Amino acid sequence: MSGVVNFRAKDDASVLGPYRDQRFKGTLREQEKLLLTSKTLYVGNLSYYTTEEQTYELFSRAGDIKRIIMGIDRFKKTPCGFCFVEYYLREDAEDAMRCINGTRLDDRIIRTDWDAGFVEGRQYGRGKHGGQVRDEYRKDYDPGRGGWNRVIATRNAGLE
Amino acid sequence: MIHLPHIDHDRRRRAGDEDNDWYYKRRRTVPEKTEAEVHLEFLISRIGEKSGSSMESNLENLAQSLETYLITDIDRIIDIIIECVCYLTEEVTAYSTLVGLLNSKKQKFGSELLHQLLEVLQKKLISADFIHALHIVTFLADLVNCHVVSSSSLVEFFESFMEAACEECIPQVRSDWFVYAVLHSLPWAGPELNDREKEPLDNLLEGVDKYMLERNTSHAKLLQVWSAMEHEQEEYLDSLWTQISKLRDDGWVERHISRYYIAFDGSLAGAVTHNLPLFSPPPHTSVMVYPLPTVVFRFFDYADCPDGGPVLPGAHSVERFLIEEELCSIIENNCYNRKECAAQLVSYRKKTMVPINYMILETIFSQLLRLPHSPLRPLFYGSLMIELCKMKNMPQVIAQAAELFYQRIDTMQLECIDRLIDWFSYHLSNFEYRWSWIDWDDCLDLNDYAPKRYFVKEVIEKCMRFSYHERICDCLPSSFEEITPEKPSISFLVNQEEQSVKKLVAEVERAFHNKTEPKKLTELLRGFNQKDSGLTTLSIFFAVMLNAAQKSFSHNFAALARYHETLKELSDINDESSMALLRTLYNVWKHNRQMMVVLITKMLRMTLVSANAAVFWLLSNVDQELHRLFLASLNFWLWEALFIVIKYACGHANRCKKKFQQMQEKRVRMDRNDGEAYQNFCCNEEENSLGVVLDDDIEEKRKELEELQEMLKNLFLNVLHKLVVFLSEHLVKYETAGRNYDTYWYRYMMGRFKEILLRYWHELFEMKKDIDKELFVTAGIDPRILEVYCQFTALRA
Repeated sequence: MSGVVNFRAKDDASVLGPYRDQRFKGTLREQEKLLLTSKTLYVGNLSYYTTEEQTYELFSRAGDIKRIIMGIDRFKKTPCGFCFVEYYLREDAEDAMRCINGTRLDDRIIRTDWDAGFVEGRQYGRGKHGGQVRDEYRKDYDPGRGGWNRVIATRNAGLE
Repeated sequence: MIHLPHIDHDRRRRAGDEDNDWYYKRRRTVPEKTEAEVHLEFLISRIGEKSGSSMESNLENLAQSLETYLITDIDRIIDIIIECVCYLTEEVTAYSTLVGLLNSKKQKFGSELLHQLLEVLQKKLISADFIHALHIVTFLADLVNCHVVSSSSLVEFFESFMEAACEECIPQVRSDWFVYAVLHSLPWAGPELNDREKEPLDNLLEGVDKYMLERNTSHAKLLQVWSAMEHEQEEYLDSLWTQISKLRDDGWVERHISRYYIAFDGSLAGAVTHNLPLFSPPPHTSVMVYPLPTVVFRFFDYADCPDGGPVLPGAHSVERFLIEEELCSIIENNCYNRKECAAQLVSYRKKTMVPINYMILETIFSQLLRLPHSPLRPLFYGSLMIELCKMKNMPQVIAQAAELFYQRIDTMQLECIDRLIDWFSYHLSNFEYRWSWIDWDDCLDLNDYAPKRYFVKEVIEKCMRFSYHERICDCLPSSFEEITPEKPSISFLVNQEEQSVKKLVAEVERAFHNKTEPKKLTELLRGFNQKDSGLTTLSIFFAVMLNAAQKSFSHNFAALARYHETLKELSDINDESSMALLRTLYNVWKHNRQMMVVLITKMLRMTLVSANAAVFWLLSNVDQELHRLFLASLNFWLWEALFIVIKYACGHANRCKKKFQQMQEKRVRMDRNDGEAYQNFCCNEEENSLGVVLDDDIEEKRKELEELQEMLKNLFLNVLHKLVVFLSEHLVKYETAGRNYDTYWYRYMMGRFKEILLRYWHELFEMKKDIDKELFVTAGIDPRILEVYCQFTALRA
């Protein structure tokens, strides 16, 4: 008889975000199937100075971490504001989605999303200048992410 | 407030959580609901949602709407109502009123509902779903107020529970549940029974009183958050009995329950009541797991709340109990969505009648600090409180709570202090580490093992891990320097006075720099091995490797993975290698606790270190007098590492056990199917990855499991034995010298002893016979140590 009526608050932990990896090798359906069983989270809006150690301390509160892969600038090979966290258990990753997504790390509100699984090459920023794409278009000044975006910074430098 | 505890790993698991294709299965197997069924669910399940009309008006309208369905959909209506009753505790009186109205329209409805309720109750008890069973019993009790259940048959129903409680040769925790279910129902049914069945009710309560007098509550000491407090930490059944007794003395008048049925006295009075069918609880079996006893958490009283606001109900009032019950139900129903949970707690329907922020916080901390385990993962409570901080006035109450915890921490259980440390450091990390640290500078005058100092020091250590050393130092007053962790650093101090050592270090460093193949490096090292003891070569290689990989966790993990074979080759079969690696790890990273903890975890998983060897090494360091007196922070790290090792060992054994059981179950299914039917069945099997299960495979897995369980047993015997020795030696030494044994160190180590028993109660009970025989039957055990162990065994007595 269980499941007749859903009394629990909606569980958003398994709800997939809108993001799909455009370079995923496979169909959209295959990617979505992986996302529904994944134990890996993408973590966004990190400061460039957030370390693997800090990320580990926060995300280990949701369960045992298998590995963390810090996102890095494609050219400079320095952190550029995102990472992947892989858990041993799916339920631990779900608890991280429920409890850590939208809270703070290094005083910044971070965002987690399901990821189909880390593959070599995905740790690099895909922006034109080597960082994340979002930083190419960011219009605000963010001291944790290099200040202005590259175009604005270049223009400002030209004004000096 | 009593929210009966249950095993948390079962609690949070949802059907299909770990099935690879659970999403698609779910879509295929859930039967399509008819439009009428969806409509019925919508009508019935939304009974408590806010609307412009009164609840009484909504109930009357709903009963009229459902009247037409009573002919065709009576079974569906019954199923939906029972489901609602199981989940929505705060709406129990709304549903009982609805049932009363429907019963007055159609007598058959009430009769069939009661049969179905008892059938569901039987199933819930068999499946050990004691929370839902409790809700059903309470609902049955309230139906007496709605002229659905006859009062005489309700008393007989309760008597059958008391008979079940008084059976012989059953655990006390089984009896406790039946008594608890009766007492829990009396706030609803008490007034009516007192009017109509006074003498049978008095007899029933006399039976309860007799049971309570004979009941063993030695477990309570182990479960109390505080060992001494201005607010008594009462055993849960004692507390409820006191509350019910007070309710009886008050003439069964309480000011909490919304009795909607009073408005329908005219309609209900004419209804025909039903006798409850006879009910026999399922018998006790050895595999049945009953809720553990618990202790009622008390933290606030009315003096803590603002003047001019509503008054906090007293600890022994039944109102306090009922409100906390409902808040716990809200948390349970929303534990997957912290925002919704916070919103529902804050908009609790009776929020204007109590200081709601204080009640919410007390309820949350009662769960976070519940022993032996919190019902939900501690992280959830932390993120829930962060969400609650977005509500008006809540941040001030949380700050007040943190201050009160600090003031009362001297007598707090160490396990609870550890949870507080994790919660508070996480909380501060979301609020820029802003705290009035100077208000807590009295801890600086205290012994290293004093709870206040331990708490503050460890909170700062955890805050540093969420951020970095300079940032935390900037937040602290200068007077806190002595308990601020040193800046994390590496110390690479291989003694290179010997020429051969110097050469080895140089060779290994060159090999790393040149990215030499692990195989070649192994051969190189083996050459050195012949000239020197193997452990020395292993230690030096490991130290150089750690130094080369010092930049981050990932560098260390990559190095461990790359040279995994090399380390294995250099290691002996015995435990000496594990201890050499741990000693080296400590020497290199002793100024970075987080790195040590994370690397130990990784090395366990990579089987570079054996759990038993790690336990032995860690405990041998706990033992040393010098460390005890001068390096408290070392002691704190050793325990953090020890808990990680034990958790890993338990997890390993549990995973193997689960796999073994899966193989057995699959084998049983395979034996029941043949040929092609089995092949088709197998294709859809979630355990397809297991392949065909052979007897040899099962036997091999059985042996592996037995070895792991033996390893785990030895591990716990080792830990418990060492703790008993530490404590015994301390007691003998201090009493011989005529000094007071009750030092901060003693309390700390006794706290660790209790912590081991509480954290791993489930595993320890499975090996209880061995522990009793090898450790606690000995005549020489000090009674103060034995007493704690007896409290532990009483948890499931």
